[in-house]
Amino acid sequence: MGKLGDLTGKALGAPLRALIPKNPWLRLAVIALPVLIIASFLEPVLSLLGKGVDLITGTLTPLLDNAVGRLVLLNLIVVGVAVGAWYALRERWRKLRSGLVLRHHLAGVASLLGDERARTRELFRKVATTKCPPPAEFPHASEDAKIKLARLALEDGESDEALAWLTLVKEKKLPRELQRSLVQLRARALVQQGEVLPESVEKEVRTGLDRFARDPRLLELLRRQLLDRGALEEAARVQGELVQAASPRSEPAERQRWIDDLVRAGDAALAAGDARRAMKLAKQARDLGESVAAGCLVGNVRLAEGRVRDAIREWGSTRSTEGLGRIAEVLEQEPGAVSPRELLECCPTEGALLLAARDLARRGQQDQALRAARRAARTLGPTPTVTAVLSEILGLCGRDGEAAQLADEAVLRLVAPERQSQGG
Amino acid sequence: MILPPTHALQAAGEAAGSGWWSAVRTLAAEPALVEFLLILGVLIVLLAVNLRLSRLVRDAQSRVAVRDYLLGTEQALSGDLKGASTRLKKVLDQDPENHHARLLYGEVLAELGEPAEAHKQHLFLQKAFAVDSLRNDLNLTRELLDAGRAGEAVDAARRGAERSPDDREALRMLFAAELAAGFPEAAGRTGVRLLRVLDQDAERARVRARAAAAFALAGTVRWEGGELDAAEALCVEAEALDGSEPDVQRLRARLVFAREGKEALLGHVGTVPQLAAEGDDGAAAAPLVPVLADGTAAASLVPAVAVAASRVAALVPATPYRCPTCGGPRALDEPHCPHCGLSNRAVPVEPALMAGLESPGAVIDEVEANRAHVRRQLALALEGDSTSFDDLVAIGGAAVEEIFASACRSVDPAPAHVELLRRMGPSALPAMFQAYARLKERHVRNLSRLLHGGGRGTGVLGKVVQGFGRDAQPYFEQLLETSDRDLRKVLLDYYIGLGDENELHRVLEHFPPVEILHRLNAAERDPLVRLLQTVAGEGFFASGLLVDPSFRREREMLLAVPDAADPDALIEVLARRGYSPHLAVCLIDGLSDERLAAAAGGLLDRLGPAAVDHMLSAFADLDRPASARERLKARLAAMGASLVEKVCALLGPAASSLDKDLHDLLVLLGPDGSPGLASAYRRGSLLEKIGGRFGGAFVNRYNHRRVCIIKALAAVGGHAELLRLRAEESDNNLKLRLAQALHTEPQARVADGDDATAGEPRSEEPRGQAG
Repeated sequence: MGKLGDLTGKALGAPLRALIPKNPWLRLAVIALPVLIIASFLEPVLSLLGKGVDLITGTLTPLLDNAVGRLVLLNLIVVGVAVGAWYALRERWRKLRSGLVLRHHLAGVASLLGDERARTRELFRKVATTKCPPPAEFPHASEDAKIKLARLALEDGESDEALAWLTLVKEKKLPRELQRSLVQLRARALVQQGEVLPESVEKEVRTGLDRFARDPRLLELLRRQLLDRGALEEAARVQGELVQAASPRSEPAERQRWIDDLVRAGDAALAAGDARRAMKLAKQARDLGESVAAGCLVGNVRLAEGRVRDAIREWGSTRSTEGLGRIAEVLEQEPGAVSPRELLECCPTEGALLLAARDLARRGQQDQALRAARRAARTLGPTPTVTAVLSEILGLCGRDGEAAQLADEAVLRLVAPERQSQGG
Repeated sequence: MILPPTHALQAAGEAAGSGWWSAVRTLAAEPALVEFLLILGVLIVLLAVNLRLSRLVRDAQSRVAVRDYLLGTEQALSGDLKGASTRLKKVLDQDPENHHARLLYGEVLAELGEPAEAHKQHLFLQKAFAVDSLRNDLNLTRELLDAGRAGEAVDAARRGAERSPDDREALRMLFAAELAAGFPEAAGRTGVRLLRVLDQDAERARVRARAAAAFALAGTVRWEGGELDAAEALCVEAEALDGSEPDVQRLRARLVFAREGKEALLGHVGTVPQLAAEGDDGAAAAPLVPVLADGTAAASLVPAVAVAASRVAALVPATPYRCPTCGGPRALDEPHCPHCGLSNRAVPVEPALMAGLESPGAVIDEVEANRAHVRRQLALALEGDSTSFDDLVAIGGAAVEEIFASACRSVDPAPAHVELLRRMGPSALPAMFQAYARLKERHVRNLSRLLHGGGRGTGVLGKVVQGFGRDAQPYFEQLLETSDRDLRKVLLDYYIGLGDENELHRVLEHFPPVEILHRLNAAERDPLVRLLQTVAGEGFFASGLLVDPSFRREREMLLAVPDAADPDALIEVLARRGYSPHLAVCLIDGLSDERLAAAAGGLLDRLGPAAVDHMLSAFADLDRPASARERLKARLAAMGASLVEKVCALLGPAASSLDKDLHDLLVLLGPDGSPGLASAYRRGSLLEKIGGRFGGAFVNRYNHRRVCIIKALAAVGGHAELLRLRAEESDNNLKLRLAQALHTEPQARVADGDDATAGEPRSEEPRGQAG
């Protein structure tokens, strides 16, 4: 109740306090003025005042009559003026010094934004090490300067220096914005320094995240720590949170990284023999957007399950060089693993037709191989891959001369002007 | 309001006894002075309060602005973009001239995905506040690149690079902008400048490669424009940076080709160091293994290829994907290009590899060359598609059965069927025989079309084999003993098509003549003509088969005459065959052909009177060519007066275009024809005969036919006949005509024939007796 009463009193008195000057003498004068005015209407007071005046004149008059007295009076006046001046200028001097600090800080920020690193460091260092009182406008200038110095040091790779500056920051009553920076930079400096145990760093980051949930920088640091530790799935989960927290501009890149993390985790799960887990991760990655790696992972899982056709279908659906490469590897290891018809049904692309042609040639079905190769060449033109595969097919069919001729023609076409080579 | 009482003041004044107090009392005694002073005091207090409040608010705002600015800056640096945006916007509302806040605010907006608004803020700084800042220029460059305005981005980046020529970031942005804008030569030069200030090896390597590729691209443009020297200079600059870059190697190869030719090019490509290394390593070199931007090798589409193919690989990018804007190599899933910095999706270097097949089933059908594919190709080939046609030819025997089946299905087998099978050559004959046998086993409908076109003519198979030469003879010699009547027909067709009488004799050793005759009658015209042209006078073919009455191909015999090895023998065969209406018609038709006219005329003469009716009929056929009719007229005129009555029989009851030709013919037959003319005059027309049978009194004797005869008589000088006819004539009009003819000079009478129709009766309509 007492607290409530204090608060009420403070609230009611706040306007008055705001209006009354900060100078105590002036404040006294302002408070005393109405009292004096009212008192002036009361006779005893007036007579008391008259007597006071009489006392003063009675005291001073004898002093003015002799030299010693006048000297004493003069000294008193000088001391009084000096004391008054000291009282009057003390606040102004304090303001002047704190203003200088603020000026340095603002100049430091301007230099920072103007990419003048040396000057920035110099100015912030002045602010950080000043003994002057903090500016009223921004009392945390010194802490802010230390944080910015730590940031600069980190950008220059000087993590020890950064940690030193961060250690000097007084956290008490620090604004939340600066606290966030402090936590971020401290975690980053610890990571960058590399001598602190990973567990400590991770704990530091997690503590920071407890205070500033979904902070992108902290999440990024945590992800790295988890990746270093080999906790791939958890890293992917953290990356998922990071995507939610990322800025619109960086969101696509972060989302892609999330997909990559999921695929990496899926690969690890597959390598560990947990196909179901791998499939779950792969599907999760694929649901996030078009991803070749995710599609290839699904295919890898299918292959691990022994479903070659499904694997080829998945690889083919990526419509990518990587997918075709995986199909090529399977056919390389096991020619005829699928028939050309099945291959094209699973992966209906021109590249798959080339693979089918090569597979046919390896299985000795030369007529069909040549027909498939010709058909592909007709559609694709003399691209390097086509040329390479055709050369191989011709070689397998015992037509080395034609293969060499084909390569020569391809070289000639490649050095022809673009329009001609495209048209040709 | 409480006023001081007067007596109090007085008492105070007395007590003080001083002058100042008296003065105060005196003043206070003045009316309304105290009130005035109080009001003044209140006003002063109010004014002071107002001033104080204003100052307080101003101070507070200033403090808040500074705090917002500094905390907003820190928020921006720590990644708290929304908070930074709110604070900095507040700062700008209070202090629009805070350039640093505006600069940072624009950057925050760009990060928040509002590049247009960010660009506006940075443009304000540049234009409205004339802020000359490298960071602002770089921000503008980035935003313009994001907005896809690479040209303007280059301008902004150049401003920044001019201000700070050695600034790494400025050069990076300029390099990226020039790559994105398609200024390869400028990008190459900026790349060289950037290399001087870079210190990280990885980035140096990347920039070196891209700068080399940019120089190579610029050189390629010059090379395409024919500026070989300029291209060479750029190529040298590119090689100085990174000679292993595929674009550089390609430019070098192009220059070698342009200056030294094909052989030098192939030699050069074979000696490129990178390629030589791959070649030495053979298949294990795997030259087409795609390399991603991060340096890792992707799965290879072509794990092992021949050495020859690696020569090609050196001239193309080794990575499977590239940036669609600057062409730099990159990974597929990278959202931003590492070279030009643009946000776009990487495209494959060989996009066609990923292109989908419209119909995979159709493609594999094509690979397998199965029935479905043959059917599709056949349908296209019959519509005139040459590619499909060639494909079917390449398929060869496997396509024969479907082509046969298609020929059986079609009402009139297209020439394309025949041409297709012919193009397959004799090697497809076994397949054709097998296909025929299979179709026969399946009792395919209309199989006869294969053999004799649905009727008794040459079928598809026959036409096909007639297109083969002696190469196919071994296949047919095996069939000489066959008893399959259809195959025998095909065999005969083949020998007919060979066009060699001597080869045909071999068939005669195995086949009865009548079977051959039947096949000859069914044969196509051209092969038969070719065969007939080889006829010699002494052979069994000429003396046995061709004179047989059952052989009906006189027209082809006549056609064969001009180019025959022995024309007289052929003419003699025709003559020996004697008159037949068909032959007469063929010969008369032959008169229309310059090359055949002489032979046809001679044979017509040899046919004699039997052919006269055909000749007259042909002469009266106005649709026949004029030259042919002239020849016929000459032949008919040579036959003399015996033709007169037959010619008169051609005259019609009314005037026609034929009248003049008949009149001329009658005149050519001469005065000896006068009795014949008179006889024809007396006989009357067919209408008169019919009309007489049903009461001839109603049929007028005065008709066009008699008028023409009178004119012909007058023209050939038949006075005596005219006189007799006039004496016999009962019709007054005819009498008048006869009298008129008698008084006309022969020359004038001939001329009168031109306007013979003037004043003559229009028709033989019954109109009662004249007079």
